[in-house]
Amino acid sequence: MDFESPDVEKDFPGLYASESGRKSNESDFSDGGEHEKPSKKDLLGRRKDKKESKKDRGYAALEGESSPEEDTDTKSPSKTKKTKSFKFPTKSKEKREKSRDKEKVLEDAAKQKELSEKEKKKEREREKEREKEKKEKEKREKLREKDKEKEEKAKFKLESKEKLKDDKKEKVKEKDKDKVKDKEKEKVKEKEKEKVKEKDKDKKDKKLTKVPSTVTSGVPFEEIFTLGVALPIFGVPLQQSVERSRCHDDTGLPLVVRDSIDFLQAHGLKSNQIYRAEPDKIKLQQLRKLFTDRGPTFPYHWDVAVACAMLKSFISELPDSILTQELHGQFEQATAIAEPQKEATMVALVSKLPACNHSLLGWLMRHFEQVLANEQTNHASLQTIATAMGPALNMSLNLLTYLITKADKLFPEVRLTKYVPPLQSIPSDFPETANELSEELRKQESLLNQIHAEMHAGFITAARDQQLWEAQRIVTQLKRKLRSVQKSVEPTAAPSSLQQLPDDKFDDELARRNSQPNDVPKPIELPPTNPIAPKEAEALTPLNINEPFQDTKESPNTDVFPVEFEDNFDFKPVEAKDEIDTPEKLVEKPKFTEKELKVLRLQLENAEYLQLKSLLQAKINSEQFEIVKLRSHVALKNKQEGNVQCKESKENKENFTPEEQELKQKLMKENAMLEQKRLNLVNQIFQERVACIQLKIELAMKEIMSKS
Amino acid sequence: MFSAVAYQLSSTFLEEQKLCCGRGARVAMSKKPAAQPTLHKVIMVGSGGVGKSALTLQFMYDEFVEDYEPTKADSYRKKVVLDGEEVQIDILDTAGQEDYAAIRDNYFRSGEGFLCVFSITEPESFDATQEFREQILRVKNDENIPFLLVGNKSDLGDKRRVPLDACRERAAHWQVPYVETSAKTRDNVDKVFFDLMREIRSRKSDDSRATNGDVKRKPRRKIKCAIL
Repeated sequence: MDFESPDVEKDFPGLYASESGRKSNESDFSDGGEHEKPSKKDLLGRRKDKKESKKDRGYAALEGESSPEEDTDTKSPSKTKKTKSFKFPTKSKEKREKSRDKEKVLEDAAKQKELSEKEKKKEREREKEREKEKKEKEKREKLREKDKEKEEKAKFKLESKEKLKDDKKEKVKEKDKDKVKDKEKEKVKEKEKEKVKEKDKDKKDKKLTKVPSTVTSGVPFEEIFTLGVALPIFGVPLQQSVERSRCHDDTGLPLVVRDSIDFLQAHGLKSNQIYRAEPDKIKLQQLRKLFTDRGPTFPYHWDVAVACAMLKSFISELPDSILTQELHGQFEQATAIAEPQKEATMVALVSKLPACNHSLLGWLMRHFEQVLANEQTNHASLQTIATAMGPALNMSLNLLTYLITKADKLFPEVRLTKYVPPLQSIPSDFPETANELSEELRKQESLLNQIHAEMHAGFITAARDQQLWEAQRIVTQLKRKLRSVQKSVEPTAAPSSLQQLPDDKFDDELARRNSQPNDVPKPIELPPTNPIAPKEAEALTPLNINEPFQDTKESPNTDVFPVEFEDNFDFKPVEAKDEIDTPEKLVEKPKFTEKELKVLRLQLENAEYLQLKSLLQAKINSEQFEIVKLRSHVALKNKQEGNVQCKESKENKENFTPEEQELKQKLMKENAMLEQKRLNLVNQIFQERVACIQLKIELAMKEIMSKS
Repeated sequence: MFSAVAYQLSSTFLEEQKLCCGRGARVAMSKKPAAQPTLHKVIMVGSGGVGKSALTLQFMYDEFVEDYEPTKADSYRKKVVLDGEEVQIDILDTAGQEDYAAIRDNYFRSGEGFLCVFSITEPESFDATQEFREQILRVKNDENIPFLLVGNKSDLGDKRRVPLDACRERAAHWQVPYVETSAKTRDNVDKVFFDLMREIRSRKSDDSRATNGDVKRKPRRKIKCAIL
């Protein structure tokens, strides 16, 4: 699957060299596929016939409804990569042939078990070839219903490809075929892309209407179609994938991506296999199936190469560019801009990305940044990553390099934290603090929404019911607890009125920085980017976590956000810290030891600063956008009235009267003084803010103490 | 003959138990793997502000909450002793507001018994019970689903605006019991939940008998199909 694209072959010339001799034969073979002998196995024969008949029926049913061919040419040239979108029969079809499909699914299951049988593979190849053959004919005939037909065929084709993914030979053949029929395929894909959204809507609607029948008939829906088949997460638009299988912690990442990055962060950074080794295909296939079926994964499912391949295949199967079709070109163009403007442009572009694309890109780039930071141990250079991921991301080397090296500036708010899934049951040691509670509550509600969505899509099983009630129960308990905690903390809510302060402060800060020459590093150099170098952070053991806090008051501009040390985390320290963080200990022992108190305090501080950080970050982002906008305005103005203005200003300078000179100097002095005053005020505000946070924490601590 | 039925009963029961355990283990590893007591799923329905949450909270925690806060959906579990047998009750407190109707449907499907609550001081809420009843019957597709009509706020007798006769009449029409409760004074609160659980329990044993009957009927059906 991962190495089907010709690019990869270029990168690994030796990989398929031994088989290259067969290429010509195989393409012949594919042409002649139609004349293959009938299969030996009854079962398979039956299946084939079925597929054929389905095809024909598809024709009849869809005759007349089609879209003109021309729209295929409107696609942007930037997206030439081959996406193997993973497709399944549409609902309408399933509806028509529900009974047939039941059989088919059963057969498919059986098939997968016997995947190794060569007979079958050949059989399927023939099928595919036949489909392609037909497609070609149709093209010549230019039938009107071609569009739809192709789409369905492509779906079949891709479906069977899916199953054969782990077979290397097969891949080579497919690749050859791809080459031969590249154009056709691309058209098909494009059409698919165009219709994906529409279709999915249809699907949902149909499912909704279908619900009662499945309920009353007593046949669990899921026995006929698995959730993974009807609502795939691979090869669908990113937004959908996120909706269907997301992390429940506001990151807006698909679970696959999050788990892969988590694994690589924890086990891959020091491994020389990262973005280099070939994955075990069977393992990859297994893992993919688990994700598709929304099943749980366990450590033995994972290894570094598989995680890399997983990430890669998910991205390469996205129907749209990760940078979105509209912005992709702009991103590539921005790489050509000279430096000071380049960064601002990139920041603006990044901020224009849809939320899910933004977080996916941010996480990837921050992750790559980490990989590169460990280059000495894992020997993964930029080139390695570009080779492995470049084709999937469909980015130029320039752009990828820029995004990775500037990841901390472009995605300052992205912190690669390990995913903690929502609680599965009510534990004896429930979270204690309001922050933890509300965080868990958000996760649970997100989970609940997903379950509801799945049920609305018609997937109603006893297990899901169970899950729904369980999640609902946890939500209820969390709410109750949160309410009781909030009631006791309510009097301390006053400091929130001070939230306005940092805004003003940042306006000033930005204004000041903007008044400086442009080549000075940009405002995002501000707190969010971590002053601690990655290696230092690695050296940070949980014990000295509290160190940065001491500096806070003295140097608010550099160390205000000590929480950020997690930014360049090297998973282990973080995990260690997590252990300390876990509320169990706090709950279990009513009396706090000094150490626990310290930890508790740090937690609170952490939460406060995080909140502050996100607030400030939002402000910075909007300011940056404003800067870019204003700058472009200025540039435009300059162009329009450039020459005239120049001359005038020169004359003005020459004609300065002594009075004017005096006034000018006076003004400059005054400005300098005001600037100084302003800076003092900014500092004061910031210190007050920090003091507020300290007080808040003090209050919360007392609260907790009194409770225990 | 009797022993055969008994055997089937016990085996289905065992299967159910196994299922429960399996699910329990999958969902919660921290939970004891031992056989869970029977679980009855109760759903509270009724329009907004009639006291569904108040009844639930009174039953669960013996507390009465004065301030009104609309519910989206809440779920509770409690272990109780029902006629000497330890059982678990899952209570799902649904939203009275129509805004959450979509969510409600998912829960209705898995509910085993329903408490349809209205306020005796609010005729509109009494009218709404009709709609809730229809909705439940539609989702469950079962006329005999365990169901109780509950007139709440009986402590506000002086403000009563739904005559007792009308309530009884409707209950009789639906062939369901009618009970008046007060979440404030805890009057009849336990009664409605326990009555409903008894109905669910008897219903379940009926069902298992019915499914056993089904097993015997099955071959005959198959023959029919073959003829067709």
